[in-house]
Amino acid sequence: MTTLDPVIKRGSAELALLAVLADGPLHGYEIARRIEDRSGGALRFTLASLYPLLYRLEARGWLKATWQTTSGGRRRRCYRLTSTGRKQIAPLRQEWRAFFRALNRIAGVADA
Amino acid sequence: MPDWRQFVSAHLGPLGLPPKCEQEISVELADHLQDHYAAALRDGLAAEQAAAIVLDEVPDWAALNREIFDAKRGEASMKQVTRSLWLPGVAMLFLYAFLLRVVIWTGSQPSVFFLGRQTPLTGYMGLALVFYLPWLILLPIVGALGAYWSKRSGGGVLQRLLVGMFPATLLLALFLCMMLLAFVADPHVPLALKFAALGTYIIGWVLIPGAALFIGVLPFLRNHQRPRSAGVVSQ
Repeated sequence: MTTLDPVIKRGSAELALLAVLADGPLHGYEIARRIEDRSGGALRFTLASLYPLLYRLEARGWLKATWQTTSGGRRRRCYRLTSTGRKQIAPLRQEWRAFFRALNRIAGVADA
Repeated sequence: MPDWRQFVSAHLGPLGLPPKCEQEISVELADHLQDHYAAALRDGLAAEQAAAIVLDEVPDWAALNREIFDAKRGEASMKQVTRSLWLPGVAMLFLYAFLLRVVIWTGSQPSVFFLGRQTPLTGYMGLALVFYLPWLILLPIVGALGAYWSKRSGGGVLQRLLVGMFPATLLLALFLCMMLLAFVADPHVPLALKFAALGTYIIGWVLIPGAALFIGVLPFLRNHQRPRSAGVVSQ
């Protein structure tokens, strides 16, 4: 399994986070698992990398966190996208698409 | 099962955020570690191996502390300062001016006090202080309202003081700038006259109204400490 350079990870982290939350509210651990599963293990958020980013996006008004009681009776802090956050996904996707297209032209990185 | 809440509280340390916020962060991080630990056990790892994997989640707790603080306070701080300082401060400035206008409209006559003395160099030196007493009586309400607003918006003691005293503080800055400008732009006007004008403005529009505002601010300068609920919960 190929893991990504931390710089690329940092840049893509916001999009990854917003993309998994587009499906519905999740708590922190679920977000980390969801990203790891969907990226085939290439993107992995540790606690130390996940929560500062969640708090930053929350402060920006892209996410909203609320305490919810799960089916198991545990209170968890769940994050959901705000309308502002949802609006960020399309431009971020476009940005990354343009970036990979440009990189592909230079270095031929697209899958065969 | 390790007590992850106690573990996080012990390793993360104080964040310098409001106690409720710190406690929520601590609980949230502990829940994450607990989930990770439980998942590792489910995957068949021994308790020690599972704990070791969980501990790898945070290589540097001090760095995490700083990053959380920056995330919580950094980008949010501008919004917070706007809510707890600038917005109520400007509103109090308008209220301060509005009340003076209302007092003048109602036909209230100003009280004028002369403070003067004879000096060998300049002859008679005097300050004419003009006060609208009904306005001064209303100013503690402005101070109290500003400090209360700031406190409700999460402002600290200094911000509450600044908001309550905002009109007087702003006028002080304005008069000092005017004075500086007068020194540069008009060197022919005698110094004594300039200082007399500055004294009149500062006493009449800063010190005395400021004292009235401060009376209103005072009750809101204390932090009422609520008993902190337990930060460590047994698992």
